[in-house]
Amino acid sequence: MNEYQKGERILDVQDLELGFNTYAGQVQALRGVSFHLNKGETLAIVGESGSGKSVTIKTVTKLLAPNAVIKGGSITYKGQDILNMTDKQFSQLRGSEISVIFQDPLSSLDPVMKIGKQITETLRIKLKMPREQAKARALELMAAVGIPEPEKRFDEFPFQFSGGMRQRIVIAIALACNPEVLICDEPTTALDVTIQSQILELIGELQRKNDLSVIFITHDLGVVANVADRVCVMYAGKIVETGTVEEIFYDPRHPYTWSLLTSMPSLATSAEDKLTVIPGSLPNMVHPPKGDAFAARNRFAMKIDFEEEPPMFKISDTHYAATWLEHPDAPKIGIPEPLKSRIAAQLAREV
Amino acid sequence: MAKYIVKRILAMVLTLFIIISISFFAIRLIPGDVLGEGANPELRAAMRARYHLDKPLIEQYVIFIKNFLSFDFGESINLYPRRPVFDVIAEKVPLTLVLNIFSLIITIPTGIACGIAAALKKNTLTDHAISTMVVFNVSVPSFVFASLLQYFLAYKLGWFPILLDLKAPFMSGAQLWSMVLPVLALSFGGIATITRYMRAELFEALSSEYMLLARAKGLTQLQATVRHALRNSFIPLCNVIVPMFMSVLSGSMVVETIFNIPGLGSLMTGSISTSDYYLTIAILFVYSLINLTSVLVVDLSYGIVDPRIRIGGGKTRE
Amino acid sequence: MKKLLAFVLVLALALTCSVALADHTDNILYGWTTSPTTLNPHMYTSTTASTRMPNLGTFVRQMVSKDGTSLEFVPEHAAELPTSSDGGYTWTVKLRDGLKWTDGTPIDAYTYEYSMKMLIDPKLVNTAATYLFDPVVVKNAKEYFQGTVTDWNEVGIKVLDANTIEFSLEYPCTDIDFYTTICQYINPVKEDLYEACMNGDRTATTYGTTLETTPSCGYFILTEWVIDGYYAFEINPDDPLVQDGWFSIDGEHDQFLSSNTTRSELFWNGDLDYHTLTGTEYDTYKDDPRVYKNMTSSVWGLFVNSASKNTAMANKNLRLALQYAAPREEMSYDVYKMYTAASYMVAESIFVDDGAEGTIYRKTEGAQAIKEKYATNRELALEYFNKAYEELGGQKITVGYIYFDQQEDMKRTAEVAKEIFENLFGADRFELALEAVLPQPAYDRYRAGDYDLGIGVRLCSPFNPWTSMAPWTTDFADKYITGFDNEEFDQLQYDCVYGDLLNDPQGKIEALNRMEELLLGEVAFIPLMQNDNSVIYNERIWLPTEEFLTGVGYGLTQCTIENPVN
Repeated sequence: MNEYQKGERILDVQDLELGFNTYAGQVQALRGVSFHLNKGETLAIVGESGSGKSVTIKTVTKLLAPNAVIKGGSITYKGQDILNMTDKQFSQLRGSEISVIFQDPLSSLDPVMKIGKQITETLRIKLKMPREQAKARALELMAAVGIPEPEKRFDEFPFQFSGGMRQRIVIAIALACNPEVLICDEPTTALDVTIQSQILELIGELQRKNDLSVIFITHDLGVVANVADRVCVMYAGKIVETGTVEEIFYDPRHPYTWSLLTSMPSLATSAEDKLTVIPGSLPNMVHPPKGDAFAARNRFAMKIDFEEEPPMFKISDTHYAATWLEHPDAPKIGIPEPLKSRIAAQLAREV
Repeated sequence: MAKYIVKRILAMVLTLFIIISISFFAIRLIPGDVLGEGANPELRAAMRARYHLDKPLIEQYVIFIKNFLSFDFGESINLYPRRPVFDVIAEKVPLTLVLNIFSLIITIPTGIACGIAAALKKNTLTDHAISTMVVFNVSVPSFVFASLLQYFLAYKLGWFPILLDLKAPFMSGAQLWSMVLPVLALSFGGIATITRYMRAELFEALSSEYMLLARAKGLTQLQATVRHALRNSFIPLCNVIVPMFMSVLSGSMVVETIFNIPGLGSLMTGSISTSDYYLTIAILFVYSLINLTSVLVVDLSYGIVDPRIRIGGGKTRE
Repeated sequence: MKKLLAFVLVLALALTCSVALADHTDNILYGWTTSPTTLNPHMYTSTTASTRMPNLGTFVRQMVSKDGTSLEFVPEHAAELPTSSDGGYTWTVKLRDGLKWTDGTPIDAYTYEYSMKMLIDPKLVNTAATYLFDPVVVKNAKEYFQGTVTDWNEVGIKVLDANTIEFSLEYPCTDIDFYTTICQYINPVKEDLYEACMNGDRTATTYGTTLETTPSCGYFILTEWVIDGYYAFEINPDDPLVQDGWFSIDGEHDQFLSSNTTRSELFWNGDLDYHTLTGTEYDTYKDDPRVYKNMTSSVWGLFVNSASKNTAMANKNLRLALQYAAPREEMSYDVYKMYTAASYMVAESIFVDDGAEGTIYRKTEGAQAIKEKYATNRELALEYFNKAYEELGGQKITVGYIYFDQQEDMKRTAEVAKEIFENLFGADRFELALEAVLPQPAYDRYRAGDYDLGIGVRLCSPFNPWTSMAPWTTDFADKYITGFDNEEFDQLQYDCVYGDLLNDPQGKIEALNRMEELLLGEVAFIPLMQNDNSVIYNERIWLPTEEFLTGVGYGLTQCTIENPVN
């Protein structure tokens, strides 16, 4: 495996199409997802529930349910084609190259196995480390993720830890074999806010120390602002906008992104204000609509939005948006109120 | 833990006392006398006096309890005349024990294997075949199995002896061969129970979050199943397996009758139908003791096997 | 190479032959339905009573005569048949010389005395104790057993010398009585072993409950015993009967199998020599020459309570109607199939002394007459019923009928009875109210007189039907209430058992006749059937007699086994 330099593309997902066979029909979960991950950066994938964020990740890590059908596209990791690998082959990559942490740490951990053993498990099986060495490394990891008195806690069970601690253990497990890529699927959603920031800090710190590339799935834009270098916005199984975090927050171009940003309560929101809500809900994904899937809920939708899906329009080298508004012939709307004032206020604060 | 065990044992003693007291009165309600119809009246009077049956019930009870506490459990009245009751029971224990242990040796691994196979291949032909077997085994009584096995495999085909070989020395090759059919007959029901449990538990374990994490960290499906799913699904199995161990002393009356096995199975019904008071109480006592101990062991085993209960006590630390 | 092969073949052949030869023993293979759990001759169990302790000797044995024609009483431990010189009050038993246990310990009159002393020991309460005071009554035996007499010397058993025992009886008895009771059921016990098995306060002994505690001195030696499993005997070359050539087998192997299917499978597989046929097996094989009918000595029937609360039962014509209409043939041949319909009180196998060789009572003229007189006669029944109906005021008559619960065949017989009675008499005029009761409570109800008709049986001794008539006497302690209360009957019964008729064979036969007539005439009992059964013997068994002989049946132990090497 070549050594990749910081900034080089190590994970590339192109036009991923995926469906789930259900009794109701085949649900089109991913309808052409494309994104890439550069070494050393943190990519955030945002979207509402059901947009396909977790499914994308499960596809990348080949942990899908048996009724999933990959209909098209490719996933390349460090030049290797992942989709056509067998599960056994990919198992070797999991953990040692690509690691995942999930949302609920209590149910993620085996309730009847000591956490020390859960951490050393991969070391001993995949790296064939002898027991003493594995234990030493595990203790190192536990210290690195901030678990106090690791020696004592090595032989304890998951139920003896609090939620935050458990997530740290999960992170320790994920990092045991020194992976290149760490995928975090809503790791802080189940935790309370104070712990949340601790975990986010920890991930950031580990990323810097171990030179990780991180994919962060979340629906919480506040978290995105905190950790991400680049952001992908997903809606109804497609990436609708992608860019650096500054570009997305200060110069969003897709109406969905506008709505997302607007619906976030801010410090300026007072108790009397009504929160902005995006009306409607995700369309029926068994029979996705013709044209732009967001059109039905988009107050800036144009006639063409209902007829043809917009392609990705390039705004800058790093900023792309799939909306007809970026077409040269489209009306120049600009960022609508109240988002515009918000962004202005934010920029003012930062100066 | 020790305090808990002591408390449980005291409760057991009390329960046993109540059981034998109720039995004492209950079996005297069953119609029947120490001697049958048409017996010589002088003999009947002498027999009734010998067993205190001519005294008022309460007095009989007091005598009974006094004797029980001084370990005099009485003799069998009609079934094994003049033999002390526990001698009778003890004599039948080895054979019953051996048969049941062999049955367990077959039942537990087979049941677990079938359960695992069914769970791993859920909703495929294998799973359906195994589930059908389970329903069949559970519905069909063990004596039907015993009769069928004996009729086809022993009588018609002659592969096995029709009866348990009592002439051959204990546990010799010939005797073991003749044990195959009765052991099989005894095992079918147990296999079904364990299979059902195992299948349900494993299936649940397989679709759990920690399996996902196990695979996410790089274990193959097989490794994750064996190291995580199986371990978790074995724990509730205690509930079923420990009582099976404790039931090694219970005999199956019909299977024993069919294969001519002098075990504990027919002892209970025989003693009740011949109004053999002391033997009946002794048997009830032995079985109650075993059952109560079994319950205690199951409860304790959960505490040992499941760390959440063993260490828990509800305290988590930061 | 060829030489080696030949050698191996010959060796194999030789081995198989030797194995086959080693298996060569003429053992009878027998299957019991219940397991004898004690071989202590002092404990009575129904199983051991029918085996009569083959591993223990006794004074006199019942054998099939060597020419196979009749029952013969053969002295075993006795040197000759016991005699009485005072009309049956005192009996002298002379023992042979040289009797011993298998370990060489000698057996003499003192051994027997010890055995009998223990038999009626008041603290041991042996269930076979009644052999010394019921029906033949040894002086003070009962009293010693009950504890009212404590001095053994007052009991009517005296050892005159090492070979002679003298019995003094309370009431006289006949030869046959003495041979078939005391001579048959009194066995010696091994004193040292008996004592060793005693418990601390001498209230129980475990003698005879396991192989180790069961010594042998009879025509068989007990060689193996797995409790509730099987036991095996070997012929005892030191036994007088064996030495006299009465047996041609080498031994016996008895399995205890309560499952009929298993017994059936074993028989057809050739592993049993004897099998009772029931149900469909009986239908299939009943005409097979290997099948023999065993006759029982008791007659099942309906106890009739003329003193019932149901006053209709007091009407004799009604009772006679029921007696003549009784469905004995239907029950015996349709329901039970192998039973024998009976219209008499004393069964067909009962054997009595007639002053000569002895005879089957039922074959005598008087007995035949009774059988015919009371045979089923539906027209006669209807006549009697019509009379009864008139006498009882022309109202519908209901009669209760108790049958034993939890027995399918019993239920069917009850239903058959109901159908036949009601069809014959008219359902508008008569109803049979069926009631299912378990046997023990049923008998309790008969004792209490709480019934109209109730099925049941009083067991009869195959050699002494007169003592078996005791339950019908007025003062019998354990009697069932039937309203039958007849002085002539009481007197006859007394005379036959205790009085003038005891030593008058012809007189006794006539008296028995008369007793049957009285009972049947008053309809205290409606006889229905003899519960005979049919057995099939393995082809290799050659029985000593083709005719059923009272007391020995077909003499299975005296059979010859053909084709011994199977």
